[in-house]
Amino acid sequence: MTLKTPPLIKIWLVRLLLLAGMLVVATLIGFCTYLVVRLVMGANSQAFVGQGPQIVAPTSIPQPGITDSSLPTKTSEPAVAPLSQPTLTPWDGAGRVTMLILGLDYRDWEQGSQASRSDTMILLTLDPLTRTAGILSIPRDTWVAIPGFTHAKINTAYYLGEAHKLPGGGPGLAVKTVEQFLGVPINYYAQIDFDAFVRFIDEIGGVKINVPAEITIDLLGDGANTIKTLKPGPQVLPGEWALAYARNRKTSEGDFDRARRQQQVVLAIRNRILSLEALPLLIQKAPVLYQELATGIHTNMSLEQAIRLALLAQQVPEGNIKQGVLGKEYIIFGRSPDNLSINIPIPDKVNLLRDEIFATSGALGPLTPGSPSEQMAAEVARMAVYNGSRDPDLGERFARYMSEQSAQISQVGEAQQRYTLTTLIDHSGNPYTIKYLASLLGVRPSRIILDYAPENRLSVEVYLGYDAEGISLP
Amino acid sequence: MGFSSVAQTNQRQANLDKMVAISEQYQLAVEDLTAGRYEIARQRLEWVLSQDPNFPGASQRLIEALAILYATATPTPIPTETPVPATATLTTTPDLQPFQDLLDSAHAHLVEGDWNGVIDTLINLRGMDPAYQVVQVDRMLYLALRQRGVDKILHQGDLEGGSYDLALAERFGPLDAEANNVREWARIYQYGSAFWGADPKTAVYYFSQVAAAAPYLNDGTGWTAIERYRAVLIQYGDKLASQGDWCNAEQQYRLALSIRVDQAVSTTADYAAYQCNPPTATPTLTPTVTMTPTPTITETPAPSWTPEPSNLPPATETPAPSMPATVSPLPSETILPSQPVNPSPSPTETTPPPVETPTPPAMPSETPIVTATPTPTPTETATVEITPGPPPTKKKP
Repeated sequence: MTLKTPPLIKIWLVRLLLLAGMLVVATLIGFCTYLVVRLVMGANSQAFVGQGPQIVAPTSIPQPGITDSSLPTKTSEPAVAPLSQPTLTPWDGAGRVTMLILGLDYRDWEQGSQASRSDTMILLTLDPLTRTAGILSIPRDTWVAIPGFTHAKINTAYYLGEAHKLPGGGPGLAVKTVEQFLGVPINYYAQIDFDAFVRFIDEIGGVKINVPAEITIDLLGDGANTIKTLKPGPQVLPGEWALAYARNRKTSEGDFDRARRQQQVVLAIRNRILSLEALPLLIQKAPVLYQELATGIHTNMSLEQAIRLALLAQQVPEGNIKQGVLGKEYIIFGRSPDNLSINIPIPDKVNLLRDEIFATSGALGPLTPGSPSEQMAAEVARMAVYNGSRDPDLGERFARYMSEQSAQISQVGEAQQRYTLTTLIDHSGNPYTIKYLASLLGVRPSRIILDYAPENRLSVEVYLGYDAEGISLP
Repeated sequence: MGFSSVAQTNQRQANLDKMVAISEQYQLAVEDLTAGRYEIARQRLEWVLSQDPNFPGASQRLIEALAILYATATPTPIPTETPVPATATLTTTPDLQPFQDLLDSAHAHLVEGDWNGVIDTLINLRGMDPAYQVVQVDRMLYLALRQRGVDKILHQGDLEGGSYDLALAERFGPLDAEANNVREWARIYQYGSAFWGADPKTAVYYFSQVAAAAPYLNDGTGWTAIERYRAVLIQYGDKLASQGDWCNAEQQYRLALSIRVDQAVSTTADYAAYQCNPPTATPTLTPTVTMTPTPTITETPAPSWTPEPSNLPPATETPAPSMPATVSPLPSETILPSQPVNPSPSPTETTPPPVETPTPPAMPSETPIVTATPTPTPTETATVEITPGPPPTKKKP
């Protein structure tokens, strides 16, 4: 009996945590909302059994309608449930954090398959330092190497992890596959069931979607009334409709259109949560929501992590959220050996998109302020200038010019040999100096040499070549 | 009382579940090892050891798996720099000491060649104060990202992760020649890998380049560039043979054999050669052919003998796109766990190619999508340039 009537302080604690959790969601772009609601309420239940806040992710394919498995009397949880968490790179709390959102294939889910493919893969990333975020959708037909297996469509990674009972299960192999495909570390995953999605949207009063063109959607379930048509223009969609809108593939660009619509729904959820009227409503409904959603979200994120993330995420304005879809401009259509339609990624283009979303901002980026010459001067690199050109005065003139730019010229002299191409040697890592010199002298990348030797009294050596004879020093 | 009891029961149950799961994964790993699924075994054993570092036999098994998986990997050079302990710095502003400590710690990691340590430490520092010693932090991040990127590509088989690190480093300043070369190799490898199984001809094009420039570059699954090239040549040969293009198929097989002798491939190559130049049905020339040559006559080399090797079909048989049973290397028609390549290819060995033999549980059925237009004509091919040569070394002009 006492378990059913928690002390008042616990109720307040739950509400406080819930509030914090809602902030996450608000900012971490939508889907995280689910996560936090579950996390917050999960902490309440788990507190009674003296367990930590770590969320448990069952290895088996989630079945809708399963009751809350975290209650203390439950012992029928899959034996490996607590151990099936993928071993992911933990978020350090300061740098970029990235989460893989997984949605399973409705056909597999409907048929009750033992293992399912993933139908949706969305990477969410957030950089706390620059208050920027990104969403990258990876279509299901993307042809990739799956660790431990041969090449296949990316949606089979989840299936293979489940079917082979790999450590970490489907989410673990899906995460590894995406990490290997894009090269970016992933800290968390969240797998969301259809029912949980629908229920949540309904609880927040639907999402406002600006439908760009008329579209026919197919609601879940059987019967003649499942086919609906959405007219163009802004409208509020209930959960079932929003899910159908996000799942639809029957448009001109199929999966790519779908990925864009999914991102549209994600941002709509975010906006809905951030709207003034939705948050109090959500908090009020939290206990009901938890009952509905607890079994519908599976993640490796702890409560503490979610709250930290929430507090950061709420500070990301919509304008700082970059969006990308690995659409047709990033792939080549092809056929797999078993004649399935596949998207063969074009590495250069995929990497460009990845860098646009993940690498153009963040703690791992340059923060030194100023113009290139100011940055160069700030580096205070001890520079030696050696003249390897046919112009006997070039070395002196160049050194004088660099001194005027506040460079630290330690040595000027003649090179021991003639150089056709100007060459730069960096002994201690001086990116701004090298960048400035390379730009000024037109040095080719093949003539930039990193010879890391911090004990060297010189930081950078410049060997002026024939190609530098024509430069004009302003 | 009740709360405590429930908690203890839960804890005991959790421990029991954990032991069961660890044992199960270990047993599965042993089975994987036996079946040659080394990569999967590695994943399981690493997990077992992460849960119980002393689990009997797990370390040994993991070493076995790794030895096979990474025998071809280039050994990671040991940093030659002697670790220098961070020197204490007196500051007049006590509040900055924690920041300075972090910076010193990052520097110590840099000297040790611990790139992850450098990056993690500096991220923490930036989380506390992004402006603290910003130029020095930028320089150290540039170096660490550059070095880690090269390490990932050359020594860890993490081509994408290495490329990403180098992209991050490049935001600070231009990459040097070595880093650029390494990234280019990874890039070409990625292109080849993208077409793996889907378009062998294009994959051959890319892997031929990276195999020439960096034959032992690997992708973390145990495959080296040279072995990928060999395997994809066989794939391409199989495809050509299935289309009846025996002469070109033979060329691919011969190229594969020039990398490593393989009896099965050799047999197939001979068969392709035979199909390419089949003997005529009539062993002797008729007077009409020999006596009345016309400009339109096709001179078919007709041996006076009829080759009848026991494993070849009769000479009169119409060339058919069926292959000898011994050759079906790659790609597999179904998704199968991969097996690493033999670590040290030698001219005499006859180890079969890294085929995927174990069969996983049946996949959910999937209907091919008919709306997609297959246009596998990469426009990037013309821009790809790579200069074969030895691995980059630091050098002075």
